[in-house]
Amino acid sequence: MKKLIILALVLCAQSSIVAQPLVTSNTFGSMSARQLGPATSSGRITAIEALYLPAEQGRPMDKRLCIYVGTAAGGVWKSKDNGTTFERLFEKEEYQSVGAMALDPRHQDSVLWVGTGESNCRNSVSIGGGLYKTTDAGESWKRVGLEKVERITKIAVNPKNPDVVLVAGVGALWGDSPDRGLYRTTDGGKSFTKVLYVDEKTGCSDVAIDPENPNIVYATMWQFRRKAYTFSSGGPGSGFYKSTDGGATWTKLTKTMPDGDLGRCIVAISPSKPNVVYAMLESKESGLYRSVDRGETWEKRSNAVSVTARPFYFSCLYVDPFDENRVYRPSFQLGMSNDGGKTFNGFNYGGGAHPDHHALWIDPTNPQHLLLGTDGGVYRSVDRGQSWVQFRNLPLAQFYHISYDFEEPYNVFGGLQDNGSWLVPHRVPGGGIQNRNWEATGWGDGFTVIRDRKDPNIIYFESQGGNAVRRHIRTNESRSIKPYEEEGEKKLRFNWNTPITQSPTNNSVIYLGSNFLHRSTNHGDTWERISPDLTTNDSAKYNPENSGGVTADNTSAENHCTIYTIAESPLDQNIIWVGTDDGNIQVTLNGGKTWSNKAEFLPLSLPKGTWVSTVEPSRFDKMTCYASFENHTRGDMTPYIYKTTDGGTSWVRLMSDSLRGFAHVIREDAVNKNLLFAGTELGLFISIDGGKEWARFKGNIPCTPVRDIQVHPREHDLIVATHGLGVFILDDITPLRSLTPQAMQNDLTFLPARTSLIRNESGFQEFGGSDEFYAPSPNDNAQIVYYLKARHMIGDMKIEILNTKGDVITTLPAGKRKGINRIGWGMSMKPPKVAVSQNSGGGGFGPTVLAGEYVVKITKDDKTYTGKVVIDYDKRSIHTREARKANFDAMMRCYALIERTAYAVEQLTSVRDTLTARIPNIASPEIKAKTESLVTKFDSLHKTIVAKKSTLFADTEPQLREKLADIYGDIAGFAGMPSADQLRRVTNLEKKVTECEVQLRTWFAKELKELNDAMKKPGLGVVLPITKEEFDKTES
Amino acid sequence: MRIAISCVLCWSALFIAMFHCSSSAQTLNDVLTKHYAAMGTVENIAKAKSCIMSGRYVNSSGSWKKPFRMMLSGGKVRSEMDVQPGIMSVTAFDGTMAWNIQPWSGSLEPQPMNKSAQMNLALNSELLNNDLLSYKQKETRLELKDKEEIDGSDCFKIVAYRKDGVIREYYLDVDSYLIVKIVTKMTVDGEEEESTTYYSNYRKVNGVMLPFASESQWGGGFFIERYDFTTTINESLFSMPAKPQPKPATNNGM
Repeated sequence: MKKLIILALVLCAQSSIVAQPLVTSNTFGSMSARQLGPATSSGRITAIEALYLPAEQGRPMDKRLCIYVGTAAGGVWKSKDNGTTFERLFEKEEYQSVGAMALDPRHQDSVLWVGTGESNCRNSVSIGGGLYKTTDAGESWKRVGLEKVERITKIAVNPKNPDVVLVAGVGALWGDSPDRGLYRTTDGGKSFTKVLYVDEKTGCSDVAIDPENPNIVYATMWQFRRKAYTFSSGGPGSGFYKSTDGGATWTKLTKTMPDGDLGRCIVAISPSKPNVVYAMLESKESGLYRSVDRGETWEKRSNAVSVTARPFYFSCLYVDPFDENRVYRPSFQLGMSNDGGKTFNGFNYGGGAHPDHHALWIDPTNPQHLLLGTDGGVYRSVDRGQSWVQFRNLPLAQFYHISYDFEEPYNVFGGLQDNGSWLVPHRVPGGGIQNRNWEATGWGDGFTVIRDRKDPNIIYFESQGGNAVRRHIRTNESRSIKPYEEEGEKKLRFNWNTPITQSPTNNSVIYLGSNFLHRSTNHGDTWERISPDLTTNDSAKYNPENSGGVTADNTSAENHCTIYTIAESPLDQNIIWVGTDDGNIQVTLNGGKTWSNKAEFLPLSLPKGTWVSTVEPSRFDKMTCYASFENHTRGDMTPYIYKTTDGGTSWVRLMSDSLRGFAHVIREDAVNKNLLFAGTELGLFISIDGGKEWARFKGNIPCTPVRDIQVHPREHDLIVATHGLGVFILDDITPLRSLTPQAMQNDLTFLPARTSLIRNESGFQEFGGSDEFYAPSPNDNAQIVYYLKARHMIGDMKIEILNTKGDVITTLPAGKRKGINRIGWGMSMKPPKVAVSQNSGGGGFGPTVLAGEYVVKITKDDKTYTGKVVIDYDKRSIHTREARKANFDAMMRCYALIERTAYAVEQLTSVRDTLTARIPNIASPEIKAKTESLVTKFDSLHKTIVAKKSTLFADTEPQLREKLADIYGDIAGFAGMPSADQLRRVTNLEKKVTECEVQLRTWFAKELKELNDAMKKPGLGVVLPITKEEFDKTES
Repeated sequence: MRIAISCVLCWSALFIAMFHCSSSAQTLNDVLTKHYAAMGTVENIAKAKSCIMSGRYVNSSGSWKKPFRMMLSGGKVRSEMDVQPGIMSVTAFDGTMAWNIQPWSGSLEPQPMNKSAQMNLALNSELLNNDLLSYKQKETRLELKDKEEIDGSDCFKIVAYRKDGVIREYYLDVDSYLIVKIVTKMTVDGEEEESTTYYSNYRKVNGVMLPFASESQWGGGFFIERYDFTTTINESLFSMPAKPQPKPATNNGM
């Protein structure tokens, strides 16, 4: 028995040890991705809440608008300064898609409810995972419940008792769910009760509480379903309900409502006259309806397109806080009525805002002041929507695909939901990336964008449904290159997100997928069909014309039985892999002559017919291919990633518990075949062991959907396309390639980094205010990278940089966090010692080192570790290595002169000041006179070395010290050959320094010696200048 | 046999549950007690009348290293940095007012500082005798929150709600019980301010574990070489000096 207990304990202990994965999110330490934007296009906004906060206690007139913005898949953002700047909240939460927000009316300054899961139920919408609450204005969040409600569309807080909150759960988009419905809490979120439920197909699409009598509540129920190939809005489950007991019980309203099935319906109550209630009712008689008797009877007021458009996508309605007849209906444009919904403004009302509107905030203190949430970010109007200003600081772009070119700096290309196609340089010389650095290259919903490697003047982009375009950069002329069906043939089927790719082995070849694979060798002018229909060609799954339900909606979003992903093997032009949205994974080994469907060989762990989201042939073995699959369109959010090493005959699943969210993309590293990257709906994941274990990368990338990933083969950057927060770049993944289990066992292990380049780029001057998003360029410092097994706390830890001679040329603060530490070294030596002066400057920086290898020594308590850092020059530089060496030598000449001058001044002033202090005590008039004379000489020399003190706006005549600093700075400012004038100047100054030194030595040897000899007799003691050894020991 | 195995599993489960309870249900007092034990003879801090810390300020890339000294004495603080030989910046708080000398502004004239600086310097004056040590005496309310992960490692989080309205979050390493990070939050004239400092390189001085590195979240910071608890500090150093008087002209240039 005893043995059994011990055995059980041992087994328990072992199992807990085994359960600890070697690589976790913390392994990546300080590696952090740069968010590039764009904020100029911004992205879809789903909710806006705002409140005025007093700026200072006791000053009620000092107030600022605090704005919360809920986004499609980029979390919650907050501005505390009227929208001038925003900060990203909600970063640690697992779901970044926001469906609804509501402030607690009694604690507006601190309590905000956030319902996750957007309910603008388009094909590409993300997912949520419950209701969150902050009680500290967004600093921390707690998930309070409704975890299984996939989408929350409205939160209504009882204005008289904020512990009572009603939450409309639209619920699952892609399947039945018993968790949908209207929920109520009466204890501030501690518990919830489902108070209105119809069936597993019908969710709650809106709820509104009467502000005057909170017992009166309206709610709408919506029967709907999206499938990969169709969408249906409406059915017998839909309905309009009213409660008179605060939501406990409900009555379905039918009187004077439209006949037949309802679709999605929304409701808004007039805050000023709550008996007036508006509703947009999707039905055969879709339109805006009004009740003036608290919902008992209804009158149809309008069926204008701005009211009835796409109810599944435009799902909000607002009434002016003071005027019960002014109604706002955000849809394609901001529909506004001033006559109780009878007439609406024209389609062209209001200028400049992005179309497609999903949220509106009306200032309760000034209804002219509006904040509008669109598919392209947030806009502000101060004239009730006649004109708009965009907030240019919300990088919420929803990318589908990403690519790069080989320019220097390289450009990143990608297409965005709702916002066309864009490119941006990955770095901006001398500064950071701003909105203006983003360049639009295409229109519509954007997807793949590729720069032609053979002719970089050409860019391919597309809009939804395979509308591929070739654009000529120089002339900005575009040509449609979408393949046509043959005469008499059925229409080709193009996915919403049609794949286009360029051959990795032949720059003349591009591929495009419909239900066939098309190949072009003339930039898309003509296409050769190189496959049969590679899909299941299931006619039951191809009928987009009938999609939409009560309101027809056919935008190619439901196109199905299409090719979704294409990749040619980087090792063999004849091997091409294709994945389809209906579960086929096809491969040809002969350039398209014959095809083999490998779907039948996929393991049983993968549900049959699962959408193939990426095919990724290996760079290391031509029979190896990775594939990601996603089944969320059938309600299955499981990540599925597989690998074959035999051309598709057998597959192994690459999975660990930490991999979460349905998988959009799998990529293999360009150098280390065991280093894999996966993008899922819930973030970026990395595996260093070929996919056995995965860890989420958390360095500045929250759990936002990651749709595409690329490794730049020249820069070794990981480029990440998110569908909610734009592009991220993780600069230099070289360290990850050497992160082995062995390396992670050591207390400290150096990891290699890419060669650091010395760039000599000037900055620029601009004062653009604070209201624009700004992304940093990559850190140009040399990167010293090491892995720490545990945080360093006790004992000293520092970094020293040594040259090849073993001299310490500088020291750096060490990173001490657990995991990977990246420390930047500015590639400069320590600065020279400068002459004492009350003037600033004087050469307070060290010269940039020469290219080469430098030793890095880390001291950690009583242990030392040695690594290296490699430095080279920017390849674009106009300077030869010889010129750089000449520059460095000139710098070092100046460096030495500055230090010689500092030493001379130190000698001079120390002797002078000692003598000066003695003068009052010297009894002998002769010695006193000699002392005064020598002090005067020192003073006069000092004035030729160091300028008298300058002030900020009044310089003095520069002397030797300042002249040396100037020439030192001038030579440093240009990395090439110093000019003849500069060298002559150095020579002349060198003469001056030498003259000073000679003069000093003469005075020390003669006058000071005589004085010292004379002073010996009165017992005053000798005065000696500081020695060079003593000077060298002083601080710089 | 089946019964025996289930007994074993029950005992094992109980053991694991107990272990988890004991590790997770720490009270504020438990954490503070262990923190004090990790620090050493903390009474020595309270006993010390003054402290001079000297070392260097180093920026994150190591290109800017400047000698600095910080003097603490009875709620007063003075920091000096040798910007370059002959130029020293000074920031000080005399218990009532904050002032500084910023030579790079082109003036050596001392200037009074605003309320924000005053509050920050008042906090600096408590650098060693922080809220975790002085909370009873200063009627500061401490609260132990859920553990938080700081830079990949778990930390205890203790929030100090001070009577002056300042909120300070102390993060203690779960292994060493030493302070890893302090986040300071305050509202001054309507502006919310937040600052974060990381502490490391602990060594024992005068019987107490003290940090020899205090860095910002962006890297770089103060690297202390010496704590001096014995040298008496001239109290006048904390007071704002009078404006420097122009020197009288002399004939011999002296």
